[in-house]
Amino acid sequence: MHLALRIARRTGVFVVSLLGASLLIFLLTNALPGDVAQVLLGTDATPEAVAQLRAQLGLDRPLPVQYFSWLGGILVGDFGSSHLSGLPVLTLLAPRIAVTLWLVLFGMIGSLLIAVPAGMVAALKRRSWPGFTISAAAQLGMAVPVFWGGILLVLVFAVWLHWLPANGYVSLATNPAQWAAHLVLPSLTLALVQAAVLIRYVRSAFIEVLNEDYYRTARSIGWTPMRALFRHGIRNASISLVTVLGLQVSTVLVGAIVVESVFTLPGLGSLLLTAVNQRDLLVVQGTVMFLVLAVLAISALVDLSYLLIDPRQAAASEQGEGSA
Amino acid sequence: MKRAQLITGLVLVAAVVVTAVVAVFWTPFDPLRVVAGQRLLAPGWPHVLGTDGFGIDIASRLMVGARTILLVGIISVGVAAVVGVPLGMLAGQAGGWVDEVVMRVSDVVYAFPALLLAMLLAAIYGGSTVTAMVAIGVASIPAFARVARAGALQVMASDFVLAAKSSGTSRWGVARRHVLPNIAPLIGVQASVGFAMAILAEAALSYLGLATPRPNPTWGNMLRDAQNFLFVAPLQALWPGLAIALAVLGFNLLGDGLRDYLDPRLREVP
Repeated sequence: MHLALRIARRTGVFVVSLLGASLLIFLLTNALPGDVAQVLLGTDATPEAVAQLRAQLGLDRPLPVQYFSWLGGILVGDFGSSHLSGLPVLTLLAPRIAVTLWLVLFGMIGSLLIAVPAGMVAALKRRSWPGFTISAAAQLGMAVPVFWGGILLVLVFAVWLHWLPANGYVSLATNPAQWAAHLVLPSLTLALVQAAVLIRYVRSAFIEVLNEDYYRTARSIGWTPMRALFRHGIRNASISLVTVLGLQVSTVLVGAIVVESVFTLPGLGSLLLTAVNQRDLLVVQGTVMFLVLAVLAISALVDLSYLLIDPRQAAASEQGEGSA
Repeated sequence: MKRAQLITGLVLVAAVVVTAVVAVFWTPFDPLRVVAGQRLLAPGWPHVLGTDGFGIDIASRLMVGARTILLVGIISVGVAAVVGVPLGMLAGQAGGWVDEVVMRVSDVVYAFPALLLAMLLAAIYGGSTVTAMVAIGVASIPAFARVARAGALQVMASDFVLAAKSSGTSRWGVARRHVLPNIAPLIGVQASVGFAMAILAEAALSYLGLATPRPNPTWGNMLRDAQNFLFVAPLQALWPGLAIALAVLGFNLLGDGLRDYLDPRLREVP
């Protein structure tokens, strides 16, 4: 019962955040000095043409009316249309979502595959050189801008070793092998930079486990440190890891946008960048709204899953709300 | 160990600051003038790090880049702190619905990465140093608000605040005399870490062509240029990236070092 209440509350927060975000995006594009119609037509447009476009886009209506009609459109999946091509934003996004999604997915999986073992070793050997090296590498990795990481990987694996393509994209349906080859470096870039952030959390989560009685018990009955950590530590570490991943969603997405630019992948990021350069304001507005919606939805889902995965959370919430 | 971190951080940050200040008055070569005959020279003398695709001295451009990054960092972190700290203190001190509203708004802004804000602004005004500073500054507000709120909550629970309140000190007086001085170190740490974030964000934005436009050099747009010559002059892609990484590392280490230094509980027993 109380769990249901918490779920309802989290959903409410999601809805309110979404409204807030949409208002922010709308005000940024429409209420700041700088006229949408003027931006779309360029500085040398005649006042008549600007006025005509304003009327056509409904920009001559009061701001609240404009906001609610825009928001109403989004609720039914209408994110606006491109001024240049006339195509709806969703039509422009659709073929590109897969590219960005693959990148984010492989990047996240890759970062976990790197960060969890590295974090475990860093925790177990924290007083000797392996742990020290891993922590230092993570600290260094956090300072590497994602696009430079990509460029360095291109230098090594494409320019010098000629193992992998330097850029471009082939769809999965066209040629699976080529598809994979083109995604290796971008995903690895994202994974490495993300792993540098995660290692710290994994390390401290496992260090916590090392101080627990159940770990000592497991060790005292003859389990090796690795086995004890694996059997008992993984679950505990995964809880803090899920939280961090939830917080990192927007970072990963931004990373993916930048990585797409490094490797000229035809994803959401490159669409956004092209639209910005062409001053196709409505596409930018619609795409940003779409991305923010995705970030908010994912972090809400992460919070909810967290509530469901960790029985202590649910128990704590019931106690907390019961006594209140 | 911790001390070594702090000192490394200080040295790196000082190096960036000194470079930036020197670049205001002097660079070895003109960082803007295109010289046709000396494109893509390898590192040597007099061009220590070589020249770029326009025949411009890379070392000079790197120095000017330090200037840009410092300017963007100071302004954006400043904006974020000036807006975020009072909001966070207000939320932490007032509690109740004020706290709820401030933190919800802060969460909404937190869902907006600087990159997306910068893209919206660039679509309207064209990308520039100013749009980058505004985007990074606004996107960094929530972090400062959270730190200030958490600090304020802690201070408000202490006995000396209770004493001050019971002796008739106003809310404003408590904020000014007790909360702010006590959370100042936390803000300092956040400023250092925020500076590192700002450098990374500015670099990404100018790499994408959304911040300071060419021909003015930034570490990000130098990397964009260098990428065109990866197969002919790979070394060019090293220097600006190295500069970014070292600067970010410096501010991160400084922030971490300060945090440990200020929090005696975290000091490691030798």
